[in-house]
Formats: sequence, structure tokens, C-alpha cells
Amino acid sequence: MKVHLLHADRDFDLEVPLPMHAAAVRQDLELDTLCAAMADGDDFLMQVAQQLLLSAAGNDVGTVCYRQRVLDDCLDNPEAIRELYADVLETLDTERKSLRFWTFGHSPASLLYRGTKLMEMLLDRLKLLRTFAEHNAQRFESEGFSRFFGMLQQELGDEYLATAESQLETLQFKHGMLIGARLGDGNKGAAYALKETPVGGNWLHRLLPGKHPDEYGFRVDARDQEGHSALSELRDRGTETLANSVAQAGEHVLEFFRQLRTELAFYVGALNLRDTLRECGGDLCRPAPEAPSSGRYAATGLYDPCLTLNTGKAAVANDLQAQDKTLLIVTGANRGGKSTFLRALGTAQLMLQAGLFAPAQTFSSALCPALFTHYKREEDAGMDSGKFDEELARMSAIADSLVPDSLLLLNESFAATNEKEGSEIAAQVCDALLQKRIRVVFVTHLYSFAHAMHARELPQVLFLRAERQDDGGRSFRILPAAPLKTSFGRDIYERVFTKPRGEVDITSRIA
Amino acid sequence: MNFPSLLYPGSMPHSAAPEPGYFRDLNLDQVVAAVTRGKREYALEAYFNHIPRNADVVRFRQAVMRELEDAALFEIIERFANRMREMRVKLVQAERHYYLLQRQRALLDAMAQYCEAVLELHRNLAARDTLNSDGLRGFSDGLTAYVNSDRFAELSEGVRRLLDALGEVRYCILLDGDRVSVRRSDGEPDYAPRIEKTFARFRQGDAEEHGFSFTNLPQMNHVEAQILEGVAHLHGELFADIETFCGRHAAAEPPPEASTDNGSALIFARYPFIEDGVARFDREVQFYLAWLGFIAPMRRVGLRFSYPDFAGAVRSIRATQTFDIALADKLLADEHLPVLNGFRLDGAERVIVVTGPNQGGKTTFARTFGQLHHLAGLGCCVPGEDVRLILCDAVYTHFERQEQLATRRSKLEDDLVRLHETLASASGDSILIFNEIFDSTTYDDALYLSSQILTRLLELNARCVWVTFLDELSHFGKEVVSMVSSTAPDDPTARTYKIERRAADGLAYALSLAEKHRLTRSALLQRLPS
Repeated sequence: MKVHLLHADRDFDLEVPLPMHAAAVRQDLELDTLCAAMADGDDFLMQVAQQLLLSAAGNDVGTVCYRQRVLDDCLDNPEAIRELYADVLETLDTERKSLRFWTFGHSPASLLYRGTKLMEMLLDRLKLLRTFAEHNAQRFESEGFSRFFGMLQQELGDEYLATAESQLETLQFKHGMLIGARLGDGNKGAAYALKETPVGGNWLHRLLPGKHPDEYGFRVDARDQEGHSALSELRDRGTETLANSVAQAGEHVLEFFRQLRTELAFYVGALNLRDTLRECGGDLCRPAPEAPSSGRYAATGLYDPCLTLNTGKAAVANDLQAQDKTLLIVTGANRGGKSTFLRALGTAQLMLQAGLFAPAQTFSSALCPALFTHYKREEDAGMDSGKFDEELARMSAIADSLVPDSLLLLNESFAATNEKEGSEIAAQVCDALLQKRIRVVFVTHLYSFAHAMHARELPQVLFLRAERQDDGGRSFRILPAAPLKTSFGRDIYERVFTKPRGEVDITSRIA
Repeated sequence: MNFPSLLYPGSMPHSAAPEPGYFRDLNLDQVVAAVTRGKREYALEAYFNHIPRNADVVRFRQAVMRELEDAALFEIIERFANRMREMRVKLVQAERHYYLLQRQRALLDAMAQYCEAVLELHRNLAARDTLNSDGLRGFSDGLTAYVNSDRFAELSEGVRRLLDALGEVRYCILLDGDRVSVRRSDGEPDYAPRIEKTFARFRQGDAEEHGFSFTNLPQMNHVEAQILEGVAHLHGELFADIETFCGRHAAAEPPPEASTDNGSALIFARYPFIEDGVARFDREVQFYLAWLGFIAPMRRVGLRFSYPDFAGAVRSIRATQTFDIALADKLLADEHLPVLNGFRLDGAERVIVVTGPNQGGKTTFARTFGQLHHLAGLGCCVPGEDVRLILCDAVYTHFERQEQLATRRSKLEDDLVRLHETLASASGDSILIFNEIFDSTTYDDALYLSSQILTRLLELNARCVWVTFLDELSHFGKEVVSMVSSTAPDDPTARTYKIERRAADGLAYALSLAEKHRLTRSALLQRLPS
């Protein structure tokens, strides 16, 4: 029995280590805000949301579409999903509160006892689950849920459940134990295994006369404590495999419930996120995944959901059309919305690949096998060598993991040295990345670099610029345009130092 | 049986060698400790401490080591060593067993391990077309004669037959209250699979195995021993055969009380079934395995090793791509690579004077020079490429050590006494390493003393690396070569650890950093997958 609501062919593994760069991605895209909206105060939902988003890059078209269909079912039946999730939580709670204690039993005997009790409880809960499936199956249409409900009804028939219960009852030994063995290391007994006893219990007690060539019998004296503990160890060794089997069966069913909890948690989180974003007036769409090599981005009304969640209002939206573009270079005004745009693009990409809806009116993008962010770590990095060294070290670590079609988001990279040197390195790095088909979105102030790239008129490079209105005001919109010579730092200086304070607040939203 | 030595051709004896005085200064003590880690039972330190000072011996060893670089051959020998080790574990167990039936089983196991070790080694060596080195070929010939002997055949066939029979034994124990009954097994099926089958449909990957803490001592308790008596009762003839066989092949004196210099592995050669020559090979070949095993991780990350030529009449020496092997071992543990350096002394050049900023790798460079000569003298392959050295008769080191102020005056005196002794006993074939000597005296004093020593050194004609803060020493004459530790030009915190004959070039800081991080265009193109 498998859950398989996140992958058609396998369990989702919550424990799988995240990519090495996940921590940076999480920080740079401010994903905690998004995950918190999914979690709605629940630690476990938070954990699942983070894991799924941060491991999303690498999901293929099949996985994305599979989840999108399961998600559609959830969005259509929110109450049923929340009820199912609550049932699963209750099952796991029961185990934790009343049966966990026995885990620490140190002998096969105590393990056998605990395993039997656990299985009895879980068989009851499985019956409930089957009933839920019977009641709800017809309302769910996705391949994922159809298979899941069908499996519950098929695997948990009345006849099977009765057999399982009766077997649990036979795990008592009333006629002694027959243990098979062979000679192992040092002629000690090995491969002890409890044997099925031949039909007719009296065989066991057919005592043969002493010194018979086929039997060698002895008694352990009642006062021989050491001897008796040796006997009970033998019994333990004899039942070890059996106790393990029963306990493992229980563990497997528990694991099934835990897996169900994990996979449902993602969809419950999605329900929470939808509700919250809708309250803020954010548009949501079902995004379209494209083939990794298409170099395609297409969006209308794309916004940064985290900014929306933070402010409670719909953030500035942008449109973007790019086909066969490997490198997007974003230049333009300081505080003009470049970083927000980069974050919106990265977050939407991860949401798409996780199988969620996208924060846009329409969104499609080529799937990437891995996503990286390389952000300037401090707003005004000085010229000191440590910072540049650190920046390059981070870039180098990313380079270790890059594969073709990876998406790399650069925000003010190589700015911790002077413009000339930074531009030279940026050009060398981007050159190599272009040749190796790494998708890069580069927000930069390095104008020597941006100009030089523009002059080369490479077809796979698209230039975008933060819009600056004629009056020096900012629309926070990002439009296709060649890089300009200045980044308008002077504008901001003048604004901050000469205009009334109210206008400063608008820009601080972006920071 | 005739098994020649793998380390001392022509049955040259060797005396137990103490650790040479220069080991600590050169960090060779750490190297030997790391090389011999996990191989204590062979007592290999003596082999690594002692340079034979004989060109024939060194070439003999180089040939053996070169041959053992073949990964397949290396593994063949290592498998042999592992089997021999397991055999010794079994013998130790046998010596500890209280119950006779258990002791006999451990002896049988040990004999089986030994036979398999010998047979497998022989089979694997025979399967190779040729052995090139005199050392391995000589041993292989001896091994062939041994394996074909009647004595060995009787041992190996007998032990196999008895163990097979023991392996076939099956029995049942019926436990009922305080009664135990041992019986023949009738092939009753296991009980657990039935339960597993019922619950198989819930399987989710691997569930936790509940390992129970049974005390798996090799020894038995008296109930187990009684059950074993029962099993022996059911199989009387087999157990009688075993007793006879063990009496013939594995009756040995108790082990000696005091440990020997030859390592614990050789102590077991007192068992009649173990051939002396096989036991000695097992120990001696570890000299080669230990070294090759130690440098293998370094080779895997691209560090180069080579077998030095020894300078003939021209007497020029050199090495490229070389490094401090003690440092490399440490760096590699943190996944760092050592910086590679080189040196050469051509024609009349005798002394390398190393100057430059501190923490720039000067001492490391000096150690490297000394290490290379000791390791080359052992017959080992050494860090670097294109290595030509002299077969030195001795290495002398003088390293400044932090000492208490109060003793300073007498320390200078002690230093000079030691230097005098060194210069008196060193020859033109000696290697001298001076590191910041006279560091604690005044500049003028240090310069004067150093000049005097240097003059004598040049008269001696010995090779020397001299790390000093006295730039003047570097232009002392045509015999002196100047080398400088360098740092990145724009970033004094970024040390290159390069020791160069010339000043560092003026690479732009940013680009040199980019190079450091392998982020230049060409470096990236090489790194990134297509």
C-alpha cells in the first residue's frame, strides 16, 4: 500500500537532504513568508512546505502535472481533505500517546507484545480509512486520488482484515518452543528460528530414553540462575525474527500513515495559501510547465507573493515574454523593482515546479533541474577583500553543482570589487554559463559588463530594465530595454534628501 | 622452503632501528604514524626508520613497489593480508576458549583461513603473466613449491572436509520449562514467514530492524556448551576426526610473555601449520602496502608521485610538483590540497636560501626537501615529478624551537655545539635542513654566525635548504640559490604557499582571486558539465 499523492511512482521523502544551496535560495527568495502562509502556524505543515518548495527544482513535467491534477481535486473538496488529514493526525497521536512506550522494550518478548497491540489498533484505523474512501471516491477525479482510494478499498477487504486479526491471536506459545539451529562461529548455535511445530502437539513431548543416539536431553537446575537466563536468552533468540516481523508490520502501517500525513500536508498547505492570497487580492493561475531546453519564460501579471503576503495588498505585477533566452540581464533604476521582479520570477518557478498554482494571471516557464541564487549579501558591500573572496567562494560552490538548463538568479553579483574588475569577471562567468546552457537572470549595476554584452548582440540574451518615468518616479515595472549608463542613484539621493517623507515610504516597501 | 626477503635482498640482516633525530623536525614521525596506522601488528616502524644507504637495496625495493602499484596486484596482496589477519583473530580466540569443542572449531577456522590465504595468493599470482621485480618473483617461486608440497595438500584438504561436515549439521532444541532436548532436525518450516506474508501488503520501504543486544561473546555459557555436547553426541564420528586433526597440525606452545620487536603478527608463526616464509612475507610486504595505501588518497585527487633517479657524476638534483606529505595528509582530511612546489640545484649549486613573508610555506618547503631524501632512501616513490636526488648518507635538521628566555644564552651555545657536530660528521652526500637558526640573536650576530656556517657548508659540499630572515645569505655566491615565499600581491591575507625563484608576477587581484576560485572563463568551461 502506497500513498503516492506527490509522485505517481514513489513516496515523497521528507528526510531527503535538500540541495546544498537550498539555504541560500530560501533566504534570497524569502520563502519562509510563503511557507508560513502555507503552514498557518503549524510546524509540520511548515516543514513540508519548505521541503517541497526547496526540492522542487528538478521535478519533471510528469510530476508537475500529476500534482496539479491532485491539487485541483483538493481545491474542489477542501473540507474532505481537511477531514482526512485530521483522521491521520489522530491515528498517529493514538500511537504516540499509548503505545510508544513499548518501543523501548529490550527483549523480543516485549517487542512481540507491543507489535501485536499496535497492529490491533492500526487495523481498526485502516477500517475507518476504507470507509472514508467508500464515501468520497466518486468526488475525486485525479489519477492520484483515484488510485489511492481504489487501493484502500481493494487491499482492505473484510476477509483480509479478519484473517489478519486471527493471526495476531495465534502468537502465543502454549506447548513449548521448537527452535531450529545450525553450528555457527565457534560452534555456537546460529540461525536460530522458531519452527512451525508438526501437527499433533504430543510429538513435542515424546521423551526419548537417555543416551538414545537421536536425542540428548538435560534439565536446568531450579537454583541455576545463570542457566535459566541462558534458557530465556535462547527463547528470545528463537522469537527474535518473529517479533521483528510483527513489529515491522506495525511500523510499515504506521509509516503508511506518516507518509499520508506528509503528502496531505502539502495540499493542506496549498489550501491555506490559496485562502490567504485570495484575501490579499492576488491572482492565482495554473501554470504551464515547458520543456527544460526551451529557454522560455512567459508571464502576465506576475507578482512576488511574499511581498503581497507581507503587505496584505497585491504587489506590482509584471509581464515577461522570452523564448530561447539563456541569459536575462536586468538593469535600471535603484529601488526600481528589480529585486522584487527577480524574487517573483524565482518564487513562481519553484511554485510551478512544486506543483502549486503560480502568482500570476498566466505563467509558463521551462522546468529547470536545479535553481540557485547568488545575491550580494550586504546592501553596501565595501571593497575589502574578504567580501569579494566570500562572494566568489559562493559562486564557485554553485559552479560545482551546475548542470545544463539550471536556473541561476544573480542579484548584484561581483559588485564587491571595483566596477572594471567586477565587469571583467561577470563577463567571463556569463560567457562560460552561456556556452554551457545555464539559464541566468542577472540583476546588475555593472554597466561596463551590461554594455559589453549588449554590444555583442547575442540572440540568446534578453535585456530588461526597471522603468524610470520622465519625472524620475518609479513604476516598479520591468520592461525589455537596453542598459543605460547610470543607475539613477542620484535620483534616490535627491528624493531622500529633498522630498517630503511620504514618498520615501513607498520605496522602503521594496527594500 | 626457500622464501627470500622482500626488503633485504641477499639476506642482509637489519637491526631494529630507532627513530632518527630528524624525524620530528621533518614531521616524518607523523607520516610514519599515519602510514603504519592500523598496521601495528607488523611493527613496520623499524622499516620506515632505517635508510639502508645501499643503492642496490633501494633499486630492489623500488622495483617491488613499482610492481605493487598495479591495482590488481595490490588487491591480491591485500586480500592475502586480510585473510592472514582473520586467521590470527581466530587463533587468539582459540587460545581463549574454555570448552574444547569450541577451541577445536576456532583452530579449524584458522587453518582454513590460512590455507585459503595461501591458495588464493598462489592462484592469483600464477594467473599473472610475469612478475617483473626480483623480490616478488623470488617469493612467488617459493610459494609455488610450497603449495605443491604434500604437507600443504594434506592440511588444506583435511580442513576443508571437516568444516564442510560441520556446516551441514542441523539440529533442533525443544525448550519446555526447565527441560532441554537436543534432536536431529526434520526440516520443519520457519514460523515467521507466515506472519510476514500476511502483512506484506503494508510494506513501505525498509522498516527498522530491532536489533537486540544479545551478548555475542565468542565464548559459550554452560547451557550452550551442554547443547553442543548434545550435537557432538548426535555426530560422534565427525567430532572424533576433528580432535585427531587438530592434534597433528595445530598443537602449539603458549605465546611468549614479552612482545618482540618483529610485531605480534610473527608470534603466530609458532603454530605448526604456518610456514615461516609465508609469515615473513606477510609482514614485509606490508612495508609496500602501507606506503602505497597511504598515498593512494593523494593520488586520487591528482597529486603525483614518482620514483627518484639518483644523481650520478653530474650531481644535480631537482623535483617538480612536490609537496610536504605530512601536510598533504592533514589537508586532505579537510578536503584541501597542498600547494605544489619545485626545486633544483644544478652544477655547482648546493644551498637553497629561502626568504620571504612568514606563514608563506617556507618551513613546509624545507621539510619537503628533507622528507624527499629520507623517503627516497627507503625505496619509496615520493611526492613530485621528475625527481632526481642524491642517495644521501644522512639527514641533519636544525629547527628553531621556542624556548624559555632564561636559557637563551646557553641555547645559542648548544646550537653552535650541535652545528659543529653536524658539520663534523656530515659529508658531501648529506642533506642539511636549517630553519630559522640564530633567530633569537641580534641581526648582526645572526649574519656573522650564518656566514661562518655557510662558508663551512660550502666547503663540505653538502646539499642544504636554509630558511632564514637574512636576505643577505641569498646572494652569497654561485653555490647559493634564492627562493622566496610569496603572497597574493593585492591581498596579503591570501597566501599562495608558492616558493619561487622569481618574484611573484603582478596578476590583478580580482582576477587572481577568480583564478583561485576557478571562476575564470576557461576554468569554468572546464568545470561545468555539457
